[in-house]
Amino acid sequence: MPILSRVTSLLRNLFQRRRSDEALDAEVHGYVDMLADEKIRAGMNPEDARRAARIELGGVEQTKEQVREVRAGAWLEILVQDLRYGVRTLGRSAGSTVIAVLTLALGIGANTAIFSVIDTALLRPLPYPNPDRIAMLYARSPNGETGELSPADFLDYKNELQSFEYLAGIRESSFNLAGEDRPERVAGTVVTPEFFAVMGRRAQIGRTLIPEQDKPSASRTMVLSYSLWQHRFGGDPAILGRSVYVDNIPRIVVGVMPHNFQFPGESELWLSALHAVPDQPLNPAADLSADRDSHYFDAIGRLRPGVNLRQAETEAATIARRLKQQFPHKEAGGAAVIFLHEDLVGQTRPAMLILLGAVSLLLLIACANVASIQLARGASRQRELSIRKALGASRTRLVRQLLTECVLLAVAGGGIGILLADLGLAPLRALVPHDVLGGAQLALDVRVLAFTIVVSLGSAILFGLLPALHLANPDLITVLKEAGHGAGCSSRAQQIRRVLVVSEIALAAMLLIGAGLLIRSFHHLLSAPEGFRPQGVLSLQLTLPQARYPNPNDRALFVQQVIERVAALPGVASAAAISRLPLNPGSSSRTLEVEGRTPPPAGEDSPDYLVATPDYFQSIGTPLVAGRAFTERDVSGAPGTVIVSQAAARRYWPAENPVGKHVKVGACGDDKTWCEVVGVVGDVRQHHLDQEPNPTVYVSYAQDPWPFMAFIVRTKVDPASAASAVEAAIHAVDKDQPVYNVRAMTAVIQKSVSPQRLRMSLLGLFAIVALTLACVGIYGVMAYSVAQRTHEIGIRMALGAHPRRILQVILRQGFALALTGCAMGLAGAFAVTRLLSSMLYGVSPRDAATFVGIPLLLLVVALLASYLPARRAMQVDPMVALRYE
Amino acid sequence: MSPDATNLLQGTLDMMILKALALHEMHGLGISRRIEQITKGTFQVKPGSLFPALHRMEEEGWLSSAWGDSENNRRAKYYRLTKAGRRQLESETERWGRISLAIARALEAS
Repeated sequence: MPILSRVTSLLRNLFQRRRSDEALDAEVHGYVDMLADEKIRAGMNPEDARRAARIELGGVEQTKEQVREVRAGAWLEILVQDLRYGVRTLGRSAGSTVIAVLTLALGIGANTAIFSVIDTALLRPLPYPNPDRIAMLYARSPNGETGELSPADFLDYKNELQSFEYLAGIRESSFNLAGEDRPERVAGTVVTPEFFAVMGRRAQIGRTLIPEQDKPSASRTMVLSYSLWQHRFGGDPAILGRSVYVDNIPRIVVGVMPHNFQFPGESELWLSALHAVPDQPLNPAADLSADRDSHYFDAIGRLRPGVNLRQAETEAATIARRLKQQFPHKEAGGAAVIFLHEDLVGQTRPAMLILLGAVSLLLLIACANVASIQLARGASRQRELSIRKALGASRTRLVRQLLTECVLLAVAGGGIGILLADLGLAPLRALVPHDVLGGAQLALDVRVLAFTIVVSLGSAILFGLLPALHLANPDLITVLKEAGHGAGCSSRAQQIRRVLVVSEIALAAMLLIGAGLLIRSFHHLLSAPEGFRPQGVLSLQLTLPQARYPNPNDRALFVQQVIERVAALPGVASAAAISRLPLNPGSSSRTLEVEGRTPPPAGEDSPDYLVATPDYFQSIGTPLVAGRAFTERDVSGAPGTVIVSQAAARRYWPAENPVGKHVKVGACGDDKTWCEVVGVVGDVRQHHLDQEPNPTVYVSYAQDPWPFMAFIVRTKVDPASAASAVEAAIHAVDKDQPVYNVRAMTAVIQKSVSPQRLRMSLLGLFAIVALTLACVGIYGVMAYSVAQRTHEIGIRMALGAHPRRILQVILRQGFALALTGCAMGLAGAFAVTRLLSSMLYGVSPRDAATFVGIPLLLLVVALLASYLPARRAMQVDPMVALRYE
Repeated sequence: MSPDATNLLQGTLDMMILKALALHEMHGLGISRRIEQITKGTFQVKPGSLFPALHRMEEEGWLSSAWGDSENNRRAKYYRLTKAGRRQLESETERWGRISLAIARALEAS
């Protein structure tokens, strides 16, 4: 059977090659000898006969080669040969091989990782059925900002909107879980029962909340998340129907969601609203269905099939206008409908696109570098390739050889690149908004990987094969005569390399400028005046459940006892409580009425409203500018007192001293009485470091004891070391009270700027890699140029040129390349950096310092990169160079 | 199996070699001379074509080889037909007969 016989031959050819070769050699030589014998018999003399026989054969080696080519498994043999040769060749120029492989790896790895992450963040559909039907409904105020809805508005929308199939109200919060073994604080959401119909997901066990069964006031039910069910309740299915104490109120668990459902935020439980709208945090038991003034929850809905976004928004806006006419004192007169995906992703999209752009630039630079290396390699192999061609290698064979080398490079680079990409996924996860992932995993996108590999491989091959293509019209004699450095084709290669290097430098300059801007912006951000002294301050948060502390006096007493205990601890300088920590997004504002002036419309320009204990300003380090702080006398029943911030003073009493004036705000002051302003304090950045402080009004905690608070402790020792003592003091007052977010204030600040830090770090990383690659590029081009011109340099020096002059010439060439690149990079950056403006704080996108400093840096670095080859040029020994061919 | 047109020459050479070995085994040079002889000089096989063909046909299983001594006491590789080779020779002969008959008819037709 031919197949069997072929396979046997294949195996024999592979494993017994030497023996086969020897046999073949003997056979062909035998043929020559016999042919010679024939001719001798015919009368030729032996020498001529042997020569004639050899000529007739056509060459022993050629014949043997021809046999080898038709052997079974010949292709395999050739492939192995090519591979081994390729590895040897790459190994001979190990330096540039390593650089090429690493460059490829960096380009492929960085690109794949970032593209995969951002593709997931921007493009992946949310993990709900028909996710493109889910939309948020917001109130829109006259200045265009969107905000939360009030209960009465929400109910009106719910009843009248035709565009939405379901509309639900949701309020994210965190809750105390007690019972079981230990108190714990978990994130959760209060929802109206249509919520699960909107999201479209079913429970893993039990059921979700349903309008028919979870009517307001009918039951207190809840649904658990999968992870909470596992880690707190041991994954026990008997949890269904059991009561769990949430904020000291028993709720019956009716279902558990699947493991990949986590919305909104990091919610671990969903509580059914006690009334027709989600509960108000300060007063959960109250039924606020008629309230049109408190805006504290979001509305999310599912559009009817066939309804598009604009129709829904128009309908909602019409209703909003009608409501505003009916109730003129309402703040918002419009409505906005935004797809959920857009809502989650829209804000981060600009930053992510910029990162995409940056990493693409990096890929371009990497490809340029690889191309440059390939060109250099190819140019120096002209001679070798020409000789091989003269010896009879077919063009196909040579091309295949070069191709094999490129593929080896690409495989090595690609392999390492995949590893890098995988490693990079974990830290990049922070780029993706939590709700978009919804608990799913982040993975490398195979299409992106394939694309990147193709691009890198393409540039490696394209520039690696150019020397082979030049062999199409080889003047072999010339090439062989010229001492390895041809004037013709290889100088064209050198020109291309110069162009590549200049482009690399330009792209690197753009990346560096971008990174430089972000770094300066970040520094400005960090040095923004927070308005307080964070060093040496510990913060912790807790929330007193309504059910356990129904009476305001109970809460005031709790806080007073805790502060007394904590302040008495050794190592504590002072302690206080505040309703909301600084640098905490989210706001609570109340309308401010000033005595003697017309009351402003509700909601307009309201200052931030906070309640604080007497030692707050001292503990947090905010200066008292006028008047006094709160004291123990500012308790419930005493005359109401208020402290305002400097911004509030400027806004409401521009030319006067606010101390002594009378106002009504929040719980301070009612129909009959006014509160007195007793002090002015410095501004605090309450929301973000990059936001100017709002006017703020403080009321004494004892006069409006809020259930949620943060404790601020100024310690004489390192704040973290005092944490457990402070927690113990709190638990001494109430052992079932969970405490959360225990951290130093410096950590709070760090966390508030972590998105900016991440972007800055990423872009900075790209820029540094780009700079390194560009340097390697310059070095490569200059080193090659020097090597090419060793002969010429030797002549010059022999004719009397000073070595220093040679150095200058080389340096000048390198400088010229860098200068051109910088100029192009500056132009490019000029055009493009305004895309960054949304991410910059306190720095213009055309910041002069950056635009001047970065090119200078680049030029210096480029000069350094050219210095080494230049020095080598300087050290050329004329005698050696003149002899060197 | 029918070789396609581009392999016609190769197929022809194969047939010649099979025919040359039909009677008894021979070494490379001998095969070359025999082919010359039986085609009355029309086909002169160069060693550059002969050797690859011989090795290929051996791998196909149509020939087998063994080392032996030649006329002048030189070591040489002798080839002989295998059973499969004989069958191949028969089928090739028959195929060529059909082809040449068909071509002859085509050329005669007006």
